[in-house]
Amino acid sequence: MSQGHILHLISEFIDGELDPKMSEKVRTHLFFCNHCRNILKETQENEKRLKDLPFMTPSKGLDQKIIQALKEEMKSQKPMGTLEPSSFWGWFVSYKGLALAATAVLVVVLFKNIPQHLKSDGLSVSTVARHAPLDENGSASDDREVMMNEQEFHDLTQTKIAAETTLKEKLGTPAPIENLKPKEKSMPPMDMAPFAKVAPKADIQKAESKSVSPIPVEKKGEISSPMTAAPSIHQMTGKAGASAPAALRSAPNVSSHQPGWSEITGASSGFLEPMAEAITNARSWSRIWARHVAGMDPKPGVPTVNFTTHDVLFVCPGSQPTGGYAVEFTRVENTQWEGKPARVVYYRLITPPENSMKTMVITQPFIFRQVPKSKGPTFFKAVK
Amino acid sequence: MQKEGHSADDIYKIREGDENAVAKMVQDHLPRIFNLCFRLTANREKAEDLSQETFINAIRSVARFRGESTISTWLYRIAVNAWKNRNRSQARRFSKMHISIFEGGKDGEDKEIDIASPDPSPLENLERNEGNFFIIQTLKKLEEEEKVIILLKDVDEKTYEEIAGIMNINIGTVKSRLSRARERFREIFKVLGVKQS
Repeated sequence: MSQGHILHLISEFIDGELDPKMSEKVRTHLFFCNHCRNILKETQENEKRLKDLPFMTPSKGLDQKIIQALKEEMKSQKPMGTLEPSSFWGWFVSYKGLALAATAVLVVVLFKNIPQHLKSDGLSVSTVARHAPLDENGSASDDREVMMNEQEFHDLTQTKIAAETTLKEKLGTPAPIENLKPKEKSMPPMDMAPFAKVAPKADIQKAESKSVSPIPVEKKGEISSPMTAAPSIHQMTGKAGASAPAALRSAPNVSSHQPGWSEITGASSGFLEPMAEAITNARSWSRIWARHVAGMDPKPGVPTVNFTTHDVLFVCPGSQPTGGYAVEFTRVENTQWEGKPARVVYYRLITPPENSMKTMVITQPFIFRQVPKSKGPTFFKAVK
Repeated sequence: MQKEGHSADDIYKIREGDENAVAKMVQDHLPRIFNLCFRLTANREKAEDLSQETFINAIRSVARFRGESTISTWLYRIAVNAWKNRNRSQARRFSKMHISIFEGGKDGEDKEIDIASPDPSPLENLERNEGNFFIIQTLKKLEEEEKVIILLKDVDEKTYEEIAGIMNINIGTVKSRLSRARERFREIFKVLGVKQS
């Protein structure tokens, strides 16, 4: 298998067992790779041939033949408990007999080991047992429990009562249980003042859009801190701006919140790994935007997109070692794939010239572009 | 063909020797088990024997069936193991016998001693007429495990989880074995000279 092919994933792809992200990668690879596409086709055809094999039914009477054989098999088996009931030995070796025998043995063993003090020998049953006192060597010469007589028990009880009385006098009488109540939490009432004037959501959005000032476009040569700056339209760093296409440099400074925005680029995205996605609905858009601006403060609001007529193409080649990197779309093609419309997006990573001055920070160049909506899948291809 | 509708009660009844429960199990599962046995053996007589052996082994081992899988998965597992055991004992027999292209003469002797070519049973001619001949020939050339997994997935349409239960392997192994089996099937099918459509 050549490097770069996905032959090991074709089987799972056919069965729909790949997760959506991996499935999308396989689909993209298949679009561009004839070899893998042919193998997929052959494998799918073989799968269909196997599925279409005729279902072989058993001969008539086979089921009855097997049932008869099973009946004979069951009769020939003699599980425990099925010997002739009149045979004592047969009954004894059954599980019932063995269970009863085991119970009887247990009862006998327990009976033999019943403690002596429970047997009637003239002493009170309520006496307390204690072990024999230690002998002169400090060891228990006789470890059997020793019976106490009534007088000894009475003396011991009185001693205990006296000890308890002394303890109570020292500690005081505890409160009766019925008087114990859980402590009431004495928390101050909640101050509702900050929440008293919460505006409806729509008003908040309007207020935000009004208060955001246009993002300034950096002049050529200025070096910004890409880690904290909000994404600016056509932001460039270092000398990369000189080599960027003219269309990017001279575009007007359009606020990203205005519906008419066409493209957003920058050098700092929340996506650290390579990403290429065609965003076709508002839910995906807000999810991706939220992750894109995760490391920014303040976070810019989600740019407006009309997903009934437009899609958003997003490419981020992942973390780059220095400043000066950028990404651009070179071509967007509408084509056909498997008889259905498809879109192919070609993009290029712009690298800073070798001897140029670069900011020694890790950057994540990105590009968003609004494009007319496509009915089919979108495939991304990196070009040099 | 009836769907899997057995419950713990059915297993209990089978364990207790309830003949009706046993008959129901056979009637419900015999068609699928026979189809699998036929695809494994490519011979109707052998498939019938193997099916009967499967159900007999099931009755013998029902006391050990803990109900962790469905009855269908359990029976499939027994059928596959019975087939593998037959292959092993057949391989041992052939290794000791004189290899001849002629059939044995006495009754009771195994007639299939020609291992150079597949058994030309009448049913294979049927397969040839139906255009599935090369599929059958390709299946015969697969290894044991490859053949089983291809039949379970592409013919019986079992899920990965069911295949894992039948073959007593984990799902990751099912995926990798199936991928390799399908690739081998594709290569062999090509070598047989069948033009892909």
